[in-house]
Amino acid sequence: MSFCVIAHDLGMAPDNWQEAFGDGFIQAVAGAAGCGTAIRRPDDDSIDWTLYSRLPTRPKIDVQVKTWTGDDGKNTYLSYPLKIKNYHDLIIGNVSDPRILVVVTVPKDRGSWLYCTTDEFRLHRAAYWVSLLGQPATSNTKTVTVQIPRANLFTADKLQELMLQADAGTPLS
Amino acid sequence: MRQSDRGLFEAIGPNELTAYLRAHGWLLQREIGRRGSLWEHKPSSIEAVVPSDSDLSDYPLRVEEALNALVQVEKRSITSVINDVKATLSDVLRFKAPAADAGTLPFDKAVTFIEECRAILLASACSAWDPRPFYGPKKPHLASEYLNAVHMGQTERGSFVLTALSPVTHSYQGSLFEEELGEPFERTAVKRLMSGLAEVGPAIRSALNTGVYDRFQSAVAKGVSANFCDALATMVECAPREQVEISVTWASNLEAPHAEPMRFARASVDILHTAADVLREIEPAPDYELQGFVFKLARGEGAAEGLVTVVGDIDGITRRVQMYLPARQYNVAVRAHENENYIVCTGDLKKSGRHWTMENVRSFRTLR
Repeated sequence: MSFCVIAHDLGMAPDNWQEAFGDGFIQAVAGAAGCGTAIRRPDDDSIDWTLYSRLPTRPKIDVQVKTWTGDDGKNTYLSYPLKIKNYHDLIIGNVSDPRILVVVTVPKDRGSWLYCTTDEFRLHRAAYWVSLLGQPATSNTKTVTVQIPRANLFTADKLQELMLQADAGTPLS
Repeated sequence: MRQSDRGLFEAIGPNELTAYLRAHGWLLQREIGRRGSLWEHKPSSIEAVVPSDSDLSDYPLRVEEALNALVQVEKRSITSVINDVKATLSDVLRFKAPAADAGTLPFDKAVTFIEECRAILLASACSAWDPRPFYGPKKPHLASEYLNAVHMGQTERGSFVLTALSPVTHSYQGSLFEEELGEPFERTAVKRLMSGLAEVGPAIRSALNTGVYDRFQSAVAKGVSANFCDALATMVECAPREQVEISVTWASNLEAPHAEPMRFARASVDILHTAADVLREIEPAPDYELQGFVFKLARGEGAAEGLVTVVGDIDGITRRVQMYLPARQYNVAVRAHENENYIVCTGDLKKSGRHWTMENVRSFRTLR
């Protein structure tokens, strides 16, 4: 296995660096699932990506992506501190297309993010999704701790399943 | 999406989008429930989903996606696409000062230019309702309501260009002219503006050659009025090198009449102002309300009625207006003159040469 040695700082701000890697995760999963992607920056309305397909009703799934080094991988739930604005943008129901939060957990060491060999191309560590539709509003001022089941792995087959649900107009589950 | 762009996308209605798509060769494939409607541009197979519910929170996002599909097909900026989509259901009038330096005007002149654009639009709307040679301060309600619907559009590159978007989404009947019944009033108003401009050109040339203003009088039915002429003249006066061009791009949801861009220059200004005076003389402005002071009283010995001269404001200029008053009203005028009270009177205002009179005075009272 060939480690990805991050030997240089090319000047990108640390937050942006992590975000760029998280975007790669999303595009890889979407590409494997056969979904189109459209990036939205800046994300003033808490949507980073729109994933879409050519199913009969042309469903889309709007995605807020967060990358996180704070997951220790131990519990059955991730407890992610989501900014209040993002939380309130993701709980609303009067939308034509569903919205999800995807948290991409990454190692603190950038050198461990990506492994490349002639046989495989491995991104570390995992992505988890959750729908916050219908969750109650909060009076918190900074963050809300969102519980994401560790079973909610954001994979290509799961994304296909979610897109079929979106096409049928059923809540994402 | 920036919050600042959100408003831009929110302002585009589903009707505007679908009208634009239809007018540019896109075909409706089917309705897709809550998401809206699915359209396809056949030559390129590019699809667009037009959202149908502008109350949904993600409506701006969906509009942006539809516009991006148009950008893909038309290969131009999203801004220019937005401008044209917004204009789909509107007749777009362009009032242009071609000689403006780098597209700018001195601020005060720009304000006057905009005011006269408004004035000529209002005059045309009045004419669309009831063609007359002159309109007093009280305009037909429909004409004033029309102005509320007209929006000033985005500025355009090049010369100083004021765009006015006159929507044609309403279908109520507003004109007294049979051939225009059923046509949206807004379309009639713009047609009256362009036909008025088309008539004014030959009328100016005729007046320049012969000194006779008959062609202005016969152009009243086509939209020309004293208000129209004054507005156009003032617009030319405040434009750099006194040149103005007015043109229209018709909304694509209605059949478009032919209308050439019209250009006016310095030579037309004096003729237009004189034509305005001539048109004011033709017909009294009915039910004109004049406010002012009693300046002069004159009645014959032993007579109860008499001639009163009131000094008041007419279209922003102080004028003396003579009126014949019966006994009761004359006495009111006498008391107002003695006490230096402000008065208000209503009647038919008429101009003959430089002389103003009010006929059929229906009320004359002091203002408290």
